[in-house]
Amino acid sequence: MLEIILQYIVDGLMVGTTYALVAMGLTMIFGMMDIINFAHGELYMIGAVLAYYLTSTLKLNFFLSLAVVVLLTFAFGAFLERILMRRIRNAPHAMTAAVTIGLSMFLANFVYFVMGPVPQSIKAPFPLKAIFLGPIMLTQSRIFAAGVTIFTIIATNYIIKHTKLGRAIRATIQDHMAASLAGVNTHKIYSFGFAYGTALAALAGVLLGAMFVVTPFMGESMLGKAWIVVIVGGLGNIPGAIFAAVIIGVTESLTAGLWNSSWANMVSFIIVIIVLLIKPQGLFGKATK
Amino acid sequence: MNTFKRFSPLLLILVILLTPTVIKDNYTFHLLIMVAIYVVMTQGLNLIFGYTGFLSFGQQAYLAIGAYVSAMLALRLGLSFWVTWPLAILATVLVGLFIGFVTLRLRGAYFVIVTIGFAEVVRLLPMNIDALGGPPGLRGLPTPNIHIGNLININFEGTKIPYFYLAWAMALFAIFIVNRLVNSRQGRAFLAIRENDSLAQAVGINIFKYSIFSFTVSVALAGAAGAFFGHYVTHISPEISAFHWTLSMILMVVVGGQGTIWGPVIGSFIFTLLPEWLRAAEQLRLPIYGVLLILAVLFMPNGVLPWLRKIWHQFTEKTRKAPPEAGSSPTHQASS
Repeated sequence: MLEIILQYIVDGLMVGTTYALVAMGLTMIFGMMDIINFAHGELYMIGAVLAYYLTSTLKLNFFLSLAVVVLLTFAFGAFLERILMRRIRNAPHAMTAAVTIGLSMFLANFVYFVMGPVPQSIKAPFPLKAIFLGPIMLTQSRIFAAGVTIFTIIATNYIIKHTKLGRAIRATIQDHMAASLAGVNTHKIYSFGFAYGTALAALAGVLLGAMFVVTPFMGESMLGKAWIVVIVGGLGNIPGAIFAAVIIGVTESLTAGLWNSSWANMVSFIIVIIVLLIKPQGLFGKATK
Repeated sequence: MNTFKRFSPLLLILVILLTPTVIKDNYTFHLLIMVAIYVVMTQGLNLIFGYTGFLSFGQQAYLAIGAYVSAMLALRLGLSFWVTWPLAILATVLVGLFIGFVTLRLRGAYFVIVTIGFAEVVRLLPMNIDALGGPPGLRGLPTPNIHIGNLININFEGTKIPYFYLAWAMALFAIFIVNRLVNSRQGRAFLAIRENDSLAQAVGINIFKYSIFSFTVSVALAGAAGAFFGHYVTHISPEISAFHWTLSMILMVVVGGQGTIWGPVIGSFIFTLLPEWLRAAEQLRLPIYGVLLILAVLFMPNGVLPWLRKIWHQFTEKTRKAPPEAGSSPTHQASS
């Protein structure tokens, strides 16, 4: 019994870290532009769908596809920011919600139109043979996903904490007027932030798409999870998001394994509600403005 | 304009009464009944969101509570719709009071996520509890037939016309209630909370009390619409607690014109009828819908109604400057 529980915890840890990728982009976009991005799940979906087409139709190598997807979605994110997000930056939440819901409907249903209803899978070059760590079983695709995720998180943290670009990003999040006065080109920072968030979500899409299946509507449930992670971790708080992602991943895995998978989301939402009642600013959030 | 305003409710009632003389096919009636149900729901959402400034993303939960309470009472206890309907609304109000008490201390994105979370919990209950019908739901809900002795016999089976009248009576009642409310002392308190809650508190408005009041009326309307919907289609499933209901409501309110009485009504018509017209576009219907939504919000940020008003003012008063629109600009202050 103890081994099974340990197994669930490890599974949850590995899937949970990839949630952090989606949540990081979401919280970054919210923190910077005050946009509640309801299309963020679709950006995740687009990563998975692109990887599916690259590996199956173009027969590209999986690792090469991963890099191509990240570059393409980064460009796509910059494009979206330029034509759409720039217009709704700092607009009332209802307006940003309506526009991003429209975008999400367009993306999901357009991909459905192109791809059709059959769930697809990404061909990944991982052998199915599991690796045993004592009583715990690990598959190579999960180890790869967790490795890439941890690397990306560390790299992101480095960019934000220790580079000039990162300083400009932090300044823009704190006070975009002051940052702009101090000579930061905030337009560029917003573009970069949205593009980076898009690429992070797409990367998570490729990683999880290689473990599970790819469908045009896979973004919907991911958005819910990402929001839970963001809220539990504290809005705009990246380390909080990572910690919360792991907690949510483990909770889900334990609920699904020991009880019933259809209650997994419910347990996460109950955690959110309890967290908000006790600490409305999230576990790691600072006191509100 | 003023005489028009005074007589417009009577005109509206007349139009509704005369509709069956023009429209004959059942499908159009079905669409018009759905419009009326949406009017009730959007009036509720508009009250808490458009007028009070809380973007409630969990309205489908109250729709489902209304529908399920009414259905369970009717099926298990054999009560008439006319008894279960008020009881269902009462149950929704009680749940709404409790949830409002818990959530209305939160604002902005936090309020949004907790309302989604609660709705998710409500969605999972009928799916997983067998007594509530499980995934297939409950069938054979009684129609709201009226039999009083031999004098009045209104049969709802086979024809849509009684449903049409009942649905629109409910819709007009909802419009009337919300209109009375927002033009009262309470309504001014709601607007104060929407525009600047700290200032509202400073001038002595009990924000929490008024927010709960607004929220409770809002969920009561959702519950009424949900119960009616159940007895109209005579079959409910966990689908009634799906997010797309609230999604439609938000689009209707935002595109129609939040914080106006008739905006959500226009929105209800647009978003019930538009998908039907777009049916010709087959599979590209939903992508087109998404693009139209984006364009509508970008170019008419306050909604269709204020946009039409602006055009009307420009048309009628070319020489004079258009007067400011009262109570129809819930823009940049509301997002704190």
